[in-house]
Amino acid sequence: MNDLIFAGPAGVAILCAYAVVMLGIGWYAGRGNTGGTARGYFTAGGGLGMVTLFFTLYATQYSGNSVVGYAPQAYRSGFAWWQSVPFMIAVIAVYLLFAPRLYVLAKQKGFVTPTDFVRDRFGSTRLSLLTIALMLWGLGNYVLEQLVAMGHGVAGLTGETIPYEVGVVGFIVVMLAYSWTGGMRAIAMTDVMQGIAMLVGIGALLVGTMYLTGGIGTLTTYLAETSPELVGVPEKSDAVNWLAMIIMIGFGAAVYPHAIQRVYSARSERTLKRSLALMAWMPLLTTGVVFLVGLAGLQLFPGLGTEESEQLVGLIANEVAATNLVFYILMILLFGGIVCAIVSTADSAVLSFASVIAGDLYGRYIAPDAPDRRKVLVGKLVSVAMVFVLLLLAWNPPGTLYSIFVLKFELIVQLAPVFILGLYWKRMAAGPTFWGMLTGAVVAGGATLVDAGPFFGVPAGLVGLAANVAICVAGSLLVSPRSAPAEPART
Amino acid sequence: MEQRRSPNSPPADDHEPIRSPWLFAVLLLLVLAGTPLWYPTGLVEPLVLGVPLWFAVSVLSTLAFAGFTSWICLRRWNLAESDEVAAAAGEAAAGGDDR
Repeated sequence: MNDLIFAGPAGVAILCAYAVVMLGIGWYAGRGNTGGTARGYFTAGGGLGMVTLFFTLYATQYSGNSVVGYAPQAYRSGFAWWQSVPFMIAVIAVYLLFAPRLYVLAKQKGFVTPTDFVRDRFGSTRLSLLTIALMLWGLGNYVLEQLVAMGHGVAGLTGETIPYEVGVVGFIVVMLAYSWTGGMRAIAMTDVMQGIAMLVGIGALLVGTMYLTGGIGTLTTYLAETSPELVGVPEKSDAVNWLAMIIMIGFGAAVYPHAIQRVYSARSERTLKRSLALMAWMPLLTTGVVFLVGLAGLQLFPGLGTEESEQLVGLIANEVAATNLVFYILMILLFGGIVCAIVSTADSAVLSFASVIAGDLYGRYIAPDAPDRRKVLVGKLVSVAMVFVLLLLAWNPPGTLYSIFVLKFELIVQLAPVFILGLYWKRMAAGPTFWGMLTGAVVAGGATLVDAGPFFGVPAGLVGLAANVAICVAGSLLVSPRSAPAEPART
Repeated sequence: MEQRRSPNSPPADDHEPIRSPWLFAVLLLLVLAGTPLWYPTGLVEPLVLGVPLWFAVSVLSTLAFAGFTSWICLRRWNLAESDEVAAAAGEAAAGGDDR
């Protein structure tokens, strides 16, 4: 995203404007005493209304990578990248498996962290600790990815007027400032602004791209003539991978800690289900649009290699912005929207990280009698330290081990059985669930370490999940007799 | 046939999506219909409205997937709403009495 003709002072101005708005919203949201209780700070006291809940679900689920990373994917994969639309819808479909029941339980029992459910249902310390470990790992990687993207986004928008490092640190400070003061309420309120900025930006990119290419009809004809392999039915292993990605991302993204905490944060069932009903359509307006833009890139910039294609959104934005003043302004909004998308995803993950530290580790094992205010403070401090450690990692990636640090869905998807089966299956036992989850994580992580898979299109994360479910189910059937009474709910 | 219910099961007249397995069977069918598993590799023709048939089917399946998911959220999910609405109405009435 370098050498943009519209980069420079205009980019700096819009980033500064967005930063000021974010800080203002954070200050406004933090005026109440949300830091007083952990539930108030981390889940907005379960009081998010329809608009804020919808936008915080949206802005958290779609990161900058959904635009900057998915367009090049469409460029390289062709029509096969349409899978990015159903796999994002699948996240909402998977919510339907557990969110209705979990919402009711969370309201009854005042859950704050996802582990609260696991502890309440199973009462097992080692299962809770493994759940915490996987969640912290997944959240850390999520934040790491956003930190890397944040620097590129800021540097690209400003044409390096703001250097990469300064851009990252600047937005981290802004993000931490509003998160610190207002917690979930501030994050959800900034997500409204950030989500709108992202939608406006994606819309601008679509209009500009279609203006340049003349629409999808001519695009298909052009691609069928020049690159039929990108238009035709994909290879069988790619088709299997299409289905596998729907399963893995559907289950993985739905059980991310910050996703679960949004279920806890809903003011009412009505706001939650209406927000999710709307969310089911958003992939068409987000990853669907980005898919079209990526295909259009094939016509506008044919023959780009893998590395070059990663710059596709910047290249298209350059071309569109050169058309006239209106498109120039729209492209500025696009890049501002991308930075907003990155920040809005990062802040949610950081808050969730802080809640796990505060409630599940410090508040449970180190200082159970500490007042909520101190637990929240510890969570905040540790999460700030985590962000800066990850920043060092982002700037100095540890060579060959880097792949293990970017393991995300492969590990987090191993949490799906404990939440989904755990809610409904009375015979599910803590021991087999622990061993299943551990096996799934080891298989997924080990395969990544030795660079094995995918196996005929099936990623190692799903192989691990299959082992996880098999151990969990078979073990529970063995250790829990059919006549055993239901696991009592623990509070 | 009597359904097995866990201790936290909702009353029978409430809707919980997972209590209706057919909903998820339809979702699965829509996902499968949208995957390109059912066509020969490399097939482009015939074109429908300028795009390959397999892709047109996938887009339609995806639209149905989104629509059906959204419909389940709105029409097949009702565990707490009735109680919450009643509680809110009660609070509003109590607030009115206070005045």
